[in-house]
Amino acid sequence: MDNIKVFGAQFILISIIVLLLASMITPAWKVYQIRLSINSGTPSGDSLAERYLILGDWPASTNGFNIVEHNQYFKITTNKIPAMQNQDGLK
Amino acid sequence: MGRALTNNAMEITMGRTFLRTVTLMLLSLIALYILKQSLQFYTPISIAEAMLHIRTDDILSLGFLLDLAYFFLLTIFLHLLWSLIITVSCSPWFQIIDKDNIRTQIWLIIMFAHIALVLSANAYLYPTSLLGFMRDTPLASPMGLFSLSLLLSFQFIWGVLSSLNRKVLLTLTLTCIALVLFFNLHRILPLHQTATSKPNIFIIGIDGLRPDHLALRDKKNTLTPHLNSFIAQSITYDKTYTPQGRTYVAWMSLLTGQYPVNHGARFNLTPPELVHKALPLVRELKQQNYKTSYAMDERRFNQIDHEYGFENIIGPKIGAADAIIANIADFPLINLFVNTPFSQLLFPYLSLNRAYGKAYDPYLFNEKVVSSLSTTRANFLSVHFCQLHWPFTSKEFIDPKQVNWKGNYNHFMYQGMLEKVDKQFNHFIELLSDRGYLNNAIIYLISDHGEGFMLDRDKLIALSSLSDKQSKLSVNSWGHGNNVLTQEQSDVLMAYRRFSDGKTVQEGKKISGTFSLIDIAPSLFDELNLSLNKSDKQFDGIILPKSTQSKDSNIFERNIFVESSLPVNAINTSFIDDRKVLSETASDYEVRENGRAVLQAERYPSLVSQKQRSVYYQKWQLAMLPDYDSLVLVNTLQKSWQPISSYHGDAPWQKMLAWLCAHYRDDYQFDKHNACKDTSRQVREVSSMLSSP
Repeated sequence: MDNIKVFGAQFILISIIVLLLASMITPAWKVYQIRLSINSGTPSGDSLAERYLILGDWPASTNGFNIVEHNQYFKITTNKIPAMQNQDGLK
Repeated sequence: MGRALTNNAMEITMGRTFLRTVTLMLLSLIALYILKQSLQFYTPISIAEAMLHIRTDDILSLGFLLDLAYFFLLTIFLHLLWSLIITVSCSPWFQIIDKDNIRTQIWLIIMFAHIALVLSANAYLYPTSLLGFMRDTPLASPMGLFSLSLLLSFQFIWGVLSSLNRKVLLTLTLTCIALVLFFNLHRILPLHQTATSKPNIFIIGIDGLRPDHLALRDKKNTLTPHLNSFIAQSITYDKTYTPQGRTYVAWMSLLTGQYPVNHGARFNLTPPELVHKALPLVRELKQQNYKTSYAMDERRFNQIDHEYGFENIIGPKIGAADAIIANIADFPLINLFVNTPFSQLLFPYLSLNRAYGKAYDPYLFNEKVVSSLSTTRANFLSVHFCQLHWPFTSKEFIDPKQVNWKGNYNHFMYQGMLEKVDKQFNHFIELLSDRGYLNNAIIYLISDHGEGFMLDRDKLIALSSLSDKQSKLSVNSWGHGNNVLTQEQSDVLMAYRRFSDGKTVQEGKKISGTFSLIDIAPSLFDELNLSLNKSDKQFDGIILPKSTQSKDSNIFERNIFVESSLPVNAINTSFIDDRKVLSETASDYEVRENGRAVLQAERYPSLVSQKQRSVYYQKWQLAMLPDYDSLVLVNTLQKSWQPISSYHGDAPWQKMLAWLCAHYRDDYQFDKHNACKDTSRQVREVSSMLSSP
């Protein structure tokens, strides 16, 4: 009887441990998958969300609009504008 | 005997539990670090790379090393403390249960519950943290956090009660109460200012604010309703230019009333020994018993501190370690401490730091600034808000629905941040008003520089046909302070408002003319009846008119000088790669013993010679560029430019050239193309005028 009680207690404890681990690993994995889905392979990023990520932050807010889900509508086009070659722009 | 054995076994297990907790904590941190790196893919900078570019002498700067060591040791200490809390939480269970495997399972539950709580709290409070991956889970909600906190707090208190004797417990409790009281003292002390005969003076700066994004220039600009409303009730001076599109230089010009050639600060991070740090405005106001304060929510490029005469400085710590610490600090436990009452002691580089955008709380910054003001004396406060500065990060991502996306990352984010800085400004004004500081006050609202976004509407049109070489001149650039021809970099806001009994006493109006930030100091001197000492340099600025009926020819016939800063190609781009910036600029800087980065004094003359210089007069701008062999004339009304060699109109460019040559005559190698050689007589006349008392 005592062994059954101990086994029961261990089962509950291990279940709680697994639940806690899953509650953290699952969202971490999901976030990683999202990151892979918007990766363009360019060091500066080719979309609003990707560049924000490269600069060190996740583009999250509480206003209900998920920029990552709508990533395809926020592609950066100004990368094509050439920078100055020197302070006066002469090569 | 059995009881003694049980007690000894428990003590040993508690020690082992602490070590196991620390080990698992370390493994968790490593896992979090790996996750963070995988989310960024390409990190703009890493510590190792930064170290490669920085000279060995600079790395060995004592102040720099101490700052980094303090950060790392404190981080370790906090995690050890957390491990201790977890261990103490396990102790009551270990007294009940004597089976090792069940003790281990209970310890793991408590450990993982703690980690889940900290991760969830980080995700809830700082959703833009890279490690805020719990943000869409039930735990990262008020109910989830409350429940888990309650459970773990109860667990910890139970552990404390079962582990400590009553005397130790009482001492700990009293210490905690004392600490809480100490750090919340400001809430108990009176906050409302008593009446003063002298007006409070507030100079409020908003970094990078372009006037053409306000209703001031176009009624369709509605992203900043509070700023628009404030400005509509102010006297605005249009157009106003900054002497240089860099924060520190602009503020020095504002506070001294002088051009950079006169106050000595020609770049951000100018070596302090080259700057005239005595500010007559601050000195005179202190003599009038003003409390003088300088507040800024980012300090990487502005080193104004107590040495400039201010009694009270608010903001993050100044130092070279800022950039490194802000790049690596994004860990949940650190973030949770950044906005606590003792954050300035624990994390001085992260506290109140806009550059650490994910944890920066603009309203907390406002509260800190206003709470530091004197309630019994008049105040002189210079405050600068930097949310509009690149890389446009914040605690919560901007609201993309407010702005139209046109493929321009910088401009889109800038517009999104306009809304946030507008709210911060409004909150600040409301705090001042609620606490009685606007019962008698003068406010100047300014921007230190604008910002180039390579917008179509910003482009200057070339009027004449250009040679191959001339056509490669870039007249439009990203950023600020790097191109005097990009008008939006130098065009700034300057507005004045006078309060009495909490209400505005003058009507809102726009005064047209040519103005500069250097006009504020002489205007304050005039309004407050202050006087310069005989040893003080005279102001370069003028007294600002308060009436549109002013016939003062100064505001229409005057010239205004604008120069560029350090030429850095790596920042003239839509994506600023810190790695490239460091590679290009590291050799120009050094880290002093106090841990602060400054330009190397021996490089200074060479850097000054690389500046672009220009003068504005009426609708014209004449620019002298060191790597372009012709002077450039800009018509600011038509938004057009041409080299002077092909100009045949009636613009008074020769007069402007004489002014330019006289103003910069002492700059090392400023006239590389001998443009001033034909103006030597005029230059002598102007120089003589400038030198006479």
